[in-house]
Amino acid sequence: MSEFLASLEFINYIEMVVSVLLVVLAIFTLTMKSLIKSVLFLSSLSMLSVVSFVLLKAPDVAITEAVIGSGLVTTLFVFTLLYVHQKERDVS
Amino acid sequence: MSIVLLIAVPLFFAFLGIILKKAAPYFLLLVSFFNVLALGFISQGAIVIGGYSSFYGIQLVLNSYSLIGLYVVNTLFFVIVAINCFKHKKLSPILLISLAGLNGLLLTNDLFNLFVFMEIAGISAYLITTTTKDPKSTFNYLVLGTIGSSFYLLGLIILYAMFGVLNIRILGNIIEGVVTNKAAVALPFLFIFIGLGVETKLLPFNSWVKGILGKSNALTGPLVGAVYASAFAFVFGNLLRYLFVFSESLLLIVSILLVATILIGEAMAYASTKVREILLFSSIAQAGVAVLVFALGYYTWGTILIALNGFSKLILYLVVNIAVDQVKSDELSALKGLFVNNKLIGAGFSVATLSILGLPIFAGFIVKMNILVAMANTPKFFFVGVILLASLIEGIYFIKLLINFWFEQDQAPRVKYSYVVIYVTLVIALLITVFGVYLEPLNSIHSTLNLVKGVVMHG
Amino acid sequence: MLLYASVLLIVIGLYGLLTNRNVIKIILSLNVLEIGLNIFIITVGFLDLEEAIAPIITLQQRASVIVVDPLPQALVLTAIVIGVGTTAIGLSLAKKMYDKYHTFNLDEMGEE
Repeated sequence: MSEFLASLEFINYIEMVVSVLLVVLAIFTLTMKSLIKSVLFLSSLSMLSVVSFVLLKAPDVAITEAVIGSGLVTTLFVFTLLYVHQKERDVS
Repeated sequence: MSIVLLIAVPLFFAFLGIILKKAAPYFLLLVSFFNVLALGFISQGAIVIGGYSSFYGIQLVLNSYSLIGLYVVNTLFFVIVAINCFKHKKLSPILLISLAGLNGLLLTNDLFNLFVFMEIAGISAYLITTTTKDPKSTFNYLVLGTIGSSFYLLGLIILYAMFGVLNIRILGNIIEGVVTNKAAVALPFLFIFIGLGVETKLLPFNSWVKGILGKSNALTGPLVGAVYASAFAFVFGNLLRYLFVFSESLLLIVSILLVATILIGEAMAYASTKVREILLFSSIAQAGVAVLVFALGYYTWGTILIALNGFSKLILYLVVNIAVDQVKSDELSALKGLFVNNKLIGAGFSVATLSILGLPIFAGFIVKMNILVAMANTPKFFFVGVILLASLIEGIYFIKLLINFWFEQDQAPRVKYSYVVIYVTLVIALLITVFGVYLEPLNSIHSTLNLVKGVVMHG
Repeated sequence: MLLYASVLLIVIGLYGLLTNRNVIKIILSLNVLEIGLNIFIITVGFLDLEEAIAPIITLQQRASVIVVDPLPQALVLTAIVIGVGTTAIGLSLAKKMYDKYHTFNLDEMGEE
C-alpha cells in the first residue's frame, strides 16, 4: 500500500496545489478593496509559503517564517490599522 | 589592529548607547574619532570571519583602494558628527550603526555580506532622514531602496546558482577565466547594477533623491549627499573592478544609462532655481561621471575623483544647508549675497565648486585632466565629449550660483556659521588647492593604487 | 513548479508596487515581493531527489547522506529578518503620514 502511494508521487501534486494557491492568494492580497482583508490574505500567503518551505526541505526557514513573517508582520499591520481606526473614531 | 574592529566597535557602542541614553552622543563622537585614528594603525590584508576557508566564510579585505575609501568616509562622518551631534541626540545610536554599515560596505568581499551591510546602511539612512519631518519622501526612499536591494539579492542568488561562490574576487576570477560567452552573466549583472544604481543615484532609479536632498537639513544633506554617495560609489567601483565582466551589449546599455544620467542631471541642475536642487542634480551627474570612469576601466583616477568629490560635496551641502536652515528658504533669490558677510566661508565654497568644475590650480583639474587624457589615449572620444559638455553646463550654473552668492543686493541675508564649520571649510579648501599645485601626493597615490591592480587575492 | 510560482510572486509584487497608490498596499506589495524572493532563493539550493534530506546534523550520521544546500537557507533567514525591519519602518512612516495628511493615499497628500 505504501509503495503504491509513493508511486503516485503525492509530493508533486501538493507542490502544484501550493504553487497555484500562492499565486491566487498574492493576487487577492493586492486586489482586495478592504485593507484588513488584504492583510489577512498576506498572512495566509505567508502561511502557505511556510508549507512550500517545508516541501523544499528547509524546516528552519519554515519555523522562522511562521513566527516572524506570518505572526509578527501581521500583528504590525493590524496594529497600524487599529491605530488609524481609533483616530478616525476620535475625529468623528 | 584587526580590521574587524572598524565594524565591531561602532556596533558595540551603538547597543551600549541604547542602554545609556545620556552618554550616547559622547560615544558617537569618541567612536567616530577612534575610527579615524585607528585607520593609521591598521594592517592591510584579508581576514576570514569564523575560521572557514575563504571559499565559504565571510572575507573582509583591506587594500590601498578600500583604505582610501575608509579614510574618506570616516573623516567626513566624523566632521558631520562633530558639527551635528548635540542637535539630534536621539539619533546617536542610529548614526553609530550607519557608521558600522558604511565601514562594512567598504571592507567586505562577500556578495551576501554586502547585501546585509547595504540594508544596515539603508535602514539607518531611512531613520536619519526622518529628521527632515517629511515622511512622504522618506517613504519613497524606503520603497525604492527596498526594491533596489531586492533586485541586488536576485542578481546575487542567480550568480550563486551559476557558480556556487559568493566571494567577490574568486567569483570575478571564475567569470573572467571560465565563462566564454559573457552574455550568459549579463542578466545577474544587470540586476546587481540596478540594485546598486538606486543608492548611487543613477538615472531611472533616482526619483527618491529630490525628496530627500531637496528637503535636507544640516545633518541629512551632507550625510546622504557626501558620505553615503561616496561610500556607494566606492562599492560600485569595487564591484566594477573585481566582479563585473561586461559583454558588448551590456556595456552599451550601461554606458547609455550613465551618459543619460550625466546629461539629464546637468540639464535639470541648469534649469533649477532652488539652491539645494541645483546641488542635488549636479551630484546625480557627478555620480554618473564617477561610475562611468570606473565602468570604462580607469580605476585609480576614479578612486581619487570620488574621494575629492566627497570632500567638495561636504562643503557645498554643509554651507548651503546651514544657510537654508536659518533663512528658511532655498530659492536662489532669497540667498543672494550670502557670502558678503561670510567672506571666509565664501572663499572655501568657491574653491570647492571650482575644483568640482575642474579649473586649474585646484585638485579637481588634475584628476579631470588625467581622466580625459587616459580616455583620449584609448580612443573614446565620445565619452570625452560627454564629460566636456557636462563640465560646460556645470560651469554655467555654478558660476551663476557663485555670482549670486558673492554680489550684494539690497539686503544680504544674515547667516551665522559656527567656528567649526568655518575651520573645516577652510582646511578642506586649503587641501584642495595644495593638492592642485603640488602634484607629488596625488601621483604617489596613483602609483600605489596601480600596484594593487595586479595583486589577486589568494583563494 | 514552486520556482515558477515564486517568479510569478515577484512579478505580482512589482506590479502591485507600480499600480497602487495606497501606502499600506505598497508595503503589502513589498512583502509579497519578499516572499517570492525567499521561495526563489530556497529553490536554488533545492535538490529534486528522493533521498535528499534537510541539512540537519543528527546523532546517527549515515555515511553517504545527500542534503540540500544549506547556504541559501541561511541567506533566507537573514533576508526574512531584514524584511521585517523594513516593513516595521514602513508602517511607522505610514502612521506618521496618516497623522500629517489624514489619508493613506499618496495622490491625495499633495505637496505641502
